[in-house]
Amino acid sequence: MTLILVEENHDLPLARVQVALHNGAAFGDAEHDGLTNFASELLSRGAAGKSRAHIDAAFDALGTSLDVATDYDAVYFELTVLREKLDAALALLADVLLRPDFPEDEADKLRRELTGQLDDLREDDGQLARRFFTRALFPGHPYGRTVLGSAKTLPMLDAARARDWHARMMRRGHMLFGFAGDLDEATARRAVEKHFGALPDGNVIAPLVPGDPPQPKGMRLTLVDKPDRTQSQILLGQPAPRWGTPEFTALQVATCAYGGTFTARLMHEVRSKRGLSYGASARLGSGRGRRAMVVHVFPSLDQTPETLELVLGMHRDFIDKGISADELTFAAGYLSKSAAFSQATPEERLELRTSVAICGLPEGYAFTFPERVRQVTLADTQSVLATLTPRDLALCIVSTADQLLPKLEAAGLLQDLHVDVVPYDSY
Amino acid sequence: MQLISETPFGAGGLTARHFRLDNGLQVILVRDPSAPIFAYQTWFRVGSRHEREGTTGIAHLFEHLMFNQTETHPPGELDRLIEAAGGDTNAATWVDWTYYRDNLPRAELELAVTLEADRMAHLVLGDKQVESEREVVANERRFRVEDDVDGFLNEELYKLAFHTHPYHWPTIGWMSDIHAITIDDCRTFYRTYYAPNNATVVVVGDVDEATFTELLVKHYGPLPSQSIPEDRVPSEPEQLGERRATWKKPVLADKLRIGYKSPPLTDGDYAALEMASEILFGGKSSRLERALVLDGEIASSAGASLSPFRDPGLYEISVSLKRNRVAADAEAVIDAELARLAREPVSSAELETARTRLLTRLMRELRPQSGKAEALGHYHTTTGDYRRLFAVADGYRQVSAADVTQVAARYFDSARRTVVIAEPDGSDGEGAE
Repeated sequence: MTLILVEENHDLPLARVQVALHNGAAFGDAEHDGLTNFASELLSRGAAGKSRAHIDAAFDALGTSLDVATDYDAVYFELTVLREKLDAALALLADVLLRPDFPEDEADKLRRELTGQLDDLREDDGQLARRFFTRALFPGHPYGRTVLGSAKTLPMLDAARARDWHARMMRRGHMLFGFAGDLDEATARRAVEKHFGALPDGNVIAPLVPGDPPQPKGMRLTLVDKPDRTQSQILLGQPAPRWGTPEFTALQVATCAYGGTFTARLMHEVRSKRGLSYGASARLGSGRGRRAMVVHVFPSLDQTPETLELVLGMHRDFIDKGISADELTFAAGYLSKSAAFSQATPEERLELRTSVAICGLPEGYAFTFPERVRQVTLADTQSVLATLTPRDLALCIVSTADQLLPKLEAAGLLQDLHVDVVPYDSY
Repeated sequence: MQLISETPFGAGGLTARHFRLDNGLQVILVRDPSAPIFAYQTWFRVGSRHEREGTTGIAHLFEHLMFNQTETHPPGELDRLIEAAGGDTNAATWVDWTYYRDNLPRAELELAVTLEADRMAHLVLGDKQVESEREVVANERRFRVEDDVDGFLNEELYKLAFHTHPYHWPTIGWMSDIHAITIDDCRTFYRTYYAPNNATVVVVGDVDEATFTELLVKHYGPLPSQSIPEDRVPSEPEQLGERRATWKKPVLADKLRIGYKSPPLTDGDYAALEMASEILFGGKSSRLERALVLDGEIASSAGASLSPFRDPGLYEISVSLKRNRVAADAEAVIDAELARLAREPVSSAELETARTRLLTRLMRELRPQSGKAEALGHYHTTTGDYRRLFAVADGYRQVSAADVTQVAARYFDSARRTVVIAEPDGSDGEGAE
């Protein structure tokens, strides 16, 4: 049975197509980190006897681009076309997904391209912080890997491995088709059968549900050393409950009160009252397995010790004492009412439904979000916060080490903190 | 309140209605019931072009201050009320405008009108608010410019390309000016530019027109109009030779920016230049994406954009080189392609590809209510007439191969370009593991 989701809307003569594969970068072995992304990207670089240049030109001529996005739990192939171009776009997409050629020269070229992307990533301090933080937060766990791959693993990725990945993954039972816009469900079903009918049957590989990540013990700082920084990118956090559980929803409400809006605690104390950072937020990650609650601030280098001390104190306070009844009412109200904005367009509704399906949650789960949030009690938030330990945190800072460390030392922040200093281009 | 014009918005049965209140406030309403929400935006005809040396960045700093306190709402109350209603609010400042946006559920129309009318005329400005936001803005600048080589190069590109026009300085302002702006500067700025006759309210969403107009008259009607200074900025003299600068930065490979002087948004050449840009950089089969990134393997990324400004701006080309290549390698490839575009007519297939891509992108941008409101507000504030938005698609349809050749020849002139480059300073770490 092929799973097809349709969000019909005829306001504009546009159609969004989304094909999702139900395993992502978390799947596979750590030695070949980046394989899912590599193989997915390689599909459109030669298929059905057509060269990459031919395929690129064909998508461009249809007024679209094929976007390939890999995350830890899935791979998404997406395009948006004028309705009149839909059939031609699906035919081309089917060539790419079903009949890739995996040319060796394109595999070599893609590997060099991804190495260049790794350099680009290193020049963005926010992305750099997230990359090192993810490894520190989920050591040895599938969610601790990289989507892109690393300087160590990228050279090991080749056309043969990509071909093998494709043979195992591209099966009807592993895929989810989504359409949004100017077409109805019957048309969508006929289109899938016409263009993707040749897909092999079977659900051979189940969606990976990663096990519980290791709980950090104590506080470990990964200081990513980059020259000439005037500012520090700071991320701290810990593993959180799994999406789809009542505990997740309760923590989602609490996290919203802590750092999910402009008037939440973190923004109020860090930015509004003290002007220490342009942004100050806490977010709860959602996926098929347990993700994390993560705090993000980026103060000036000089104000880093003051900001870090403030945020660590707030974090302890948040976990130890929880949120107030007023904060609960406010956060639950905000989350339930603002849900309308993530469902405003057919593309957004399709995205929500796809996420829910990929993570194995019941159809319609996303649309009952307001109701579930309103049912969260103060006791629920206290109960889930009690499962977190405020002094067991992963901490990552991108900054200039020889400037920052003496300031942290002088502020007494290095006590009881294990510090790893790593060069910014080392991973 | 007077109806000024009424124009169909696309083929889906939507209509844009343009009103004016007696105090000069302009209003554009598009009733779009596709979702039970609405986008409420207030566009002020003031941006960094209205600043002077010494107080650069005041338009942006002031945007931050607009979220603080009014005579009837204590500090932070505006954000709190919007969030309590399930909405979100933010703002943006650029060279020609500043706009404030609220996205709210449909039942909260009165809240939006009340809050926005209130802060248009009754803002409270105190030392504490200014000092706190000054630090926030300084941190924003560190984030966007000091610690971001791309942001640094964009700033330097405009600084070098414009000598007399205010596009010379960045919207966020020079750091020294951010620290020097006084509370009196802020008060004068507010009194000068924040008035109903210098603003356009744009609302797109599931709202009832009769209720909306009643609320507008009630809450904005009493606000007095002000004498707005004439928008007189020094024009930029003709550039007569290439300008170029290079910096050492902590990057792993060269980064290159090239800016060619380009026409304003209202110019007849604008659509043809957008098509030229699409042929050069739009999509994986575009000429320079292939020559620089996919086939040439000189760069890890390459792109371009055309400034949508009231006055002549820049056609900006951005390239991130690969480690073993230098900016000059990319410049040679770019020069050759730009010269070819100015010399040889593009094929009809290439032209149609560019046209289809631009039309599809335009439609995608106009899908959400907030996207429609932003496009209307931008066109109305920058060009003086929101209806120019509705001519954009036809503009693409009318561009011929000869038009593309002509604009390439006219604008891709090396004597009218500015080039800025960041080179590695040799401070890379200890190598990859």
